[in-house]
Amino acid sequence: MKKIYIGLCLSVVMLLLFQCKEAYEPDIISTDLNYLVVEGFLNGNGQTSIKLSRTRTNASTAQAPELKANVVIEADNSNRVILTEGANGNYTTNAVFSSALKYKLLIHTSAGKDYVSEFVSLLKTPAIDSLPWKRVNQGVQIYVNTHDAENRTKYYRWEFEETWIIIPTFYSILKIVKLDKHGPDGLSFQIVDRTPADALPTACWQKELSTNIRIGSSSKLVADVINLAPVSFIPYSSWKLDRRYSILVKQYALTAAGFEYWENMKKNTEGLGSIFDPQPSEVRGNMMCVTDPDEPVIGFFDASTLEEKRLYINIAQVPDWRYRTGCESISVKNDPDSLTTIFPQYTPLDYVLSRDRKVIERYTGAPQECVDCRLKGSAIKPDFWE
Amino acid sequence: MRLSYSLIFLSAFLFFGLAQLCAQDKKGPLLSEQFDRVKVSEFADYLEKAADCKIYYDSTAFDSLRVSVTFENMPLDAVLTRAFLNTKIKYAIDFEKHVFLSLDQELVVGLPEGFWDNSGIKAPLTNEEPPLISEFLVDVDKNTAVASSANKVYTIGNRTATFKKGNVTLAGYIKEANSGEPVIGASVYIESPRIGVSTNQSGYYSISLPAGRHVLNIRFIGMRDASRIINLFSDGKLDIEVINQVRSLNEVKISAEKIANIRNTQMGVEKLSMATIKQIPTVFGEPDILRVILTLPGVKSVGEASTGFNVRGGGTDQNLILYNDATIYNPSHLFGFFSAFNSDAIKDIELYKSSIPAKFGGRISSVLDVHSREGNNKKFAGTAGIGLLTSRINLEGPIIRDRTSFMIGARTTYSDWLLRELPAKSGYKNSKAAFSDIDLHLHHKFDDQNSLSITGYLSSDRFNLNSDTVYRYFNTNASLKWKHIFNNKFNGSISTGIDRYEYKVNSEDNVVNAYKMGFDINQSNVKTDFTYYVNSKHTLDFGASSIYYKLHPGSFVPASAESLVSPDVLDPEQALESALYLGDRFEITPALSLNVGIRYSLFNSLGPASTYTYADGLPKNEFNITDSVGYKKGDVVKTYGGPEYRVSARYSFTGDFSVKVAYNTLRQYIHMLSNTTAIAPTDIWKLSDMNIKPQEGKQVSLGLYKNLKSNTIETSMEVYYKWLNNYLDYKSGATLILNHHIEQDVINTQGKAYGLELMIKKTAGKLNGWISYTYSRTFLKMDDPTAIQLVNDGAYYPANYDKPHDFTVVGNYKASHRFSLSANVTYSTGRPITLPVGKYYYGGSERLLYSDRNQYRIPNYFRTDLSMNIDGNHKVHQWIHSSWTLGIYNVTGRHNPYSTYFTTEQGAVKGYQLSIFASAIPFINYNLRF
Repeated sequence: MKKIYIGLCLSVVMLLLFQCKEAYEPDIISTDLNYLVVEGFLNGNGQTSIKLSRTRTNASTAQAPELKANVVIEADNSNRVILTEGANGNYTTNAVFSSALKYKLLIHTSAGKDYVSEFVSLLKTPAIDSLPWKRVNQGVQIYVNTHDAENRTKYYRWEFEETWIIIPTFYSILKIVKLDKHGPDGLSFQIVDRTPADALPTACWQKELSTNIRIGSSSKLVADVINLAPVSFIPYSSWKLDRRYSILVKQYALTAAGFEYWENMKKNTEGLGSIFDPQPSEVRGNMMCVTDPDEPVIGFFDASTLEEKRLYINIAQVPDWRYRTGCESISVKNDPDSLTTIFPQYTPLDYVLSRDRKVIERYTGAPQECVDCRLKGSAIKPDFWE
Repeated sequence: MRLSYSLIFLSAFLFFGLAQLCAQDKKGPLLSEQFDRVKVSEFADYLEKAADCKIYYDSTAFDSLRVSVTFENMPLDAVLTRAFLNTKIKYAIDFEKHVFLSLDQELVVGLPEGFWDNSGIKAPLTNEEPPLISEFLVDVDKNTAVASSANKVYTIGNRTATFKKGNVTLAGYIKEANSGEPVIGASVYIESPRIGVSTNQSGYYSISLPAGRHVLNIRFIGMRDASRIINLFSDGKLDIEVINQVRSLNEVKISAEKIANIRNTQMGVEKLSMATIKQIPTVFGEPDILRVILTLPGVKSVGEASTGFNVRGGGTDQNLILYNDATIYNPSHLFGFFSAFNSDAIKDIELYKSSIPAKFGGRISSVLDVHSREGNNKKFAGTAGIGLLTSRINLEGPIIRDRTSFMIGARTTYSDWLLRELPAKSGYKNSKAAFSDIDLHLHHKFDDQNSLSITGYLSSDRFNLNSDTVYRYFNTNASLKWKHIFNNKFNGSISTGIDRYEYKVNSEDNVVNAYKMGFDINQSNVKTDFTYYVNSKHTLDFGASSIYYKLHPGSFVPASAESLVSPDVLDPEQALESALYLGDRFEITPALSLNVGIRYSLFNSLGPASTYTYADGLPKNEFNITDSVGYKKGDVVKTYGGPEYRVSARYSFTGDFSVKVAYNTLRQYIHMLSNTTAIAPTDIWKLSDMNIKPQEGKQVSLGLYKNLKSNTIETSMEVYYKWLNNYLDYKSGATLILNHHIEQDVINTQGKAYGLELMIKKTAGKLNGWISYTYSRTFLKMDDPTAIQLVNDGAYYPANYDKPHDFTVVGNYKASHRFSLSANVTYSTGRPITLPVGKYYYGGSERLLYSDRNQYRIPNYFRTDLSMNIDGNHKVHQWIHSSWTLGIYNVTGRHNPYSTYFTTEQGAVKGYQLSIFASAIPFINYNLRF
């Protein structure tokens, strides 16, 4: 009887985890929806960049930048700024915009279609107050605190860039030189000392941009205060926090309409699936196609200044955190048969001399990724890194 | 234990001069003699001489019988009683001193009840036919006020020498003999001429019959067929007790009356007894009325975790759910896994899909009328059920025997401990979920004319899903109903009650954002219903009702002193919904009958309120506000009203084949605001006001009904077409909660639905159940010329619950009295969904471009459930009867997708399907009755 009881309980437990989630790839009749996607904002205190692309079918993997378009920002006093086309459909300008004016975005594509946005005001984004963080159950949660003393902003969006340092687990003073033909010992390679020129970097940096939409609103509060709005989450034992981690949070002010647009996009693509989630639905942004008013245009053009703040977290500040690299070194005897078991797949680290210090008795080696951090990041130290 | 007999009455005996009946005047000469094993013929000869009577009997049948009896100074009837005590021989005496002897069944010659007085006669008798068939002893209890014997003639009205001409009315209650509970929907009829009625909600019937002698038949599934012989002189009353057909542990009957489907004028009515409901397997083994109605043709839901249901293409808010006349706004517990009704308290349910009686109104799709039992008024009893997640208990009994009864039921969960046991990885570790509900019913009978019933209902739910946000919701209902019988032809009831539904959400972890949110709806209602049995052709139903609504559409307030949440409290809404109705059940000929009803409903939106008026023909938004009007308390803001027609007709070609048509219109003044596909605990309701028009529904339907194999197999085919008007849909991304001007986000939508429902039902035998197939479509269209962005550009799109094909088999096999097996098989087309048809890069990630709404479907749905019921022994006199219910939900373990969704993970789009019950789920329940 007891067995049955336990069995039943287990099934109930399984049931309560009712989200049996499986991959789902529906057969969708391929349609050639090819709408213009406009992403970017008018930056009130820096470079303005507008990225134009096209929607693609589900199966397509390639990016679809919109090239050779004329992109213009026009103020309500009819002053115009023409954006310069860069790579991958990015159109930029370093023009300075006055916060007293309203602006609209005009696009003329190479296909001859004209698109225009509504006029938008240039919003002043309040500064980020702080970036508190907390060790929570399953990782580290980073929050943002901000406020607008004038109670004007109310709607916020954040993006962030995460950077972290990678220190190789092992340091290598040796390298393998491949031989054109087998040497006298029958090996196809030779292990030699590294010269300063080919010394491996002692640190690398990896960078990641935010992929999820982070928005927040204080519209329901008496004061324009954002308290502990979650921005980034580092899952437990992530390599991002192996040594030292840094995050740059960018804050943008939004209009109510812009907030609604981002919120809907977030619901459409990041939520859903729970029992009570609303159905996906398309919300139009503030862009429209002049040539064909029925053609949907994706994107919301808005204008604001940009505020940034950077935070560093050292591993020492985070209790109970350990990133496991899985790196181990192996020591082999210095004879051809033993050496070929790990080299040249492994990177040689060091050698051990015999007791009389005359011959190399053993070599140590480790997988390449445990030695050369360039396999995981860039060896160029970012300017901001401290 | 009292048994009733199914007596086949032989009308041939009517010729025995009954018209000359007179009051019994004398007992005749007193007799003294002694017989030992004499032939019946000798005994008869003696009596004929000694008592100056004439004895009739079948000499061949009585050939072998012997009589042994001794009597001294006894009248004839006492002698006969003594002589034939404990034998198969029955006798009857009429008023001309004709004595009729018969075997097994006595002949009825018109003696009043209680003529025989067999008390004190204990003479031993010997007989050549030794077996004592005690069941056939007539059980005469002079004290009972009810007609419990099939073998006697009941005299109704003031006895006159002859029956007068014309019709008289007979009325009374049909009750279950053991518990005294009313039998609802039983057929009461005579065969010739064929006149019949069925009992109403209180088990009351009123039938208009020609004066004279009749055999009144009572038929009800689950009860033994019963009949009463009546001499109907003038208007009178006859209460009848009927007996459960099966020994009470065998609850295996399906559906209502045997011929109701053919004879009722109404169509699209599904009636299920609790016994039927209990045999259908459900996911946790707990009987669930809402799951069961989903097996009926024309009833669908969005998915398994939703208790809201859609009837013939209507929305989930378009069903009026009544529990003893109290409106239940949220009929579900625990995310919809359990229904809010305690199955032990429920007697039966009726679902009106098409012909909605004129007395109901206020919702445009269906009425689900749930009735509780009245409680046992004879003895104390109870039931209890223990399951893995829930337990329930139900107690009932008399407070004053035969007059006052009570029933109290309670249910609770203990799922919290299970959630705590979950591993942290599951993501539900910090979740909590619990519910409970309490039922209280009191029923008091003042006298034969007056009775009062009181219902109280309270349900509460609380849950949080791995966050500090706690959701709670409550249904609170109380109702009082007084029934009065003015006379045999006229009865009525008046009821009053209050209904409340509220939900609360609070979140307190983040000090700055700590909030409490709340919503509630309150209604006080008063309602009268009258039935007037004009004659055998006309029955009038009429009445009036009024509901006063007070709704607090939302409040959002800080939960602590440190919280910066700005209090936002929406103005309360109030309104009065009133209705008058009149319906006539008109039996034109026995074959053709008509049910015509009209209901006039009136809705007054009341102040205080402040509303905006908008420019005509322009989108309702902040730029097109032309005026802002304030109303004081008591002012009428806006009045809506209109007639609703309820017409149905039935033509019976034969006794087992009929055709019915129906036309119905309905209006609805309260709307649920929801942009989720299922009923969510945070859905709120909104009253019609200046800018929100009432919803209107219209349905035509046609049905064919044919019964086979002496009404044990019922087949039916119904087709319908339905129009929905002013159904509310919302702008994409609209915020519904705490929206001060919801009219700016609402888009008027039209709907159309049509379908075909086929059903074969076997109602008797070891194997019973039903097979149904439904083809139905439901389309919606936004036709608001003022709205800017219409879903699918204003073209029709399939509703969320549009599942064209639906096939259901429900079966129960009773292998023995103690063991039965049930199965439930369901197949349906997958529901429509909106899928991504393209993608683009935005905000650091791939994003999806969605198709027009509901242009694709999730995979088809298929599920099989099995359960078995094992009863303990059937000894009548034991303290506790117990039974086990065990089974498996979703035997095949099919992963039926509930929904699909697409999400951005690490910058790439991934599609998932979500199944709610993705494996075979065993369940077990222990039930006991005492």
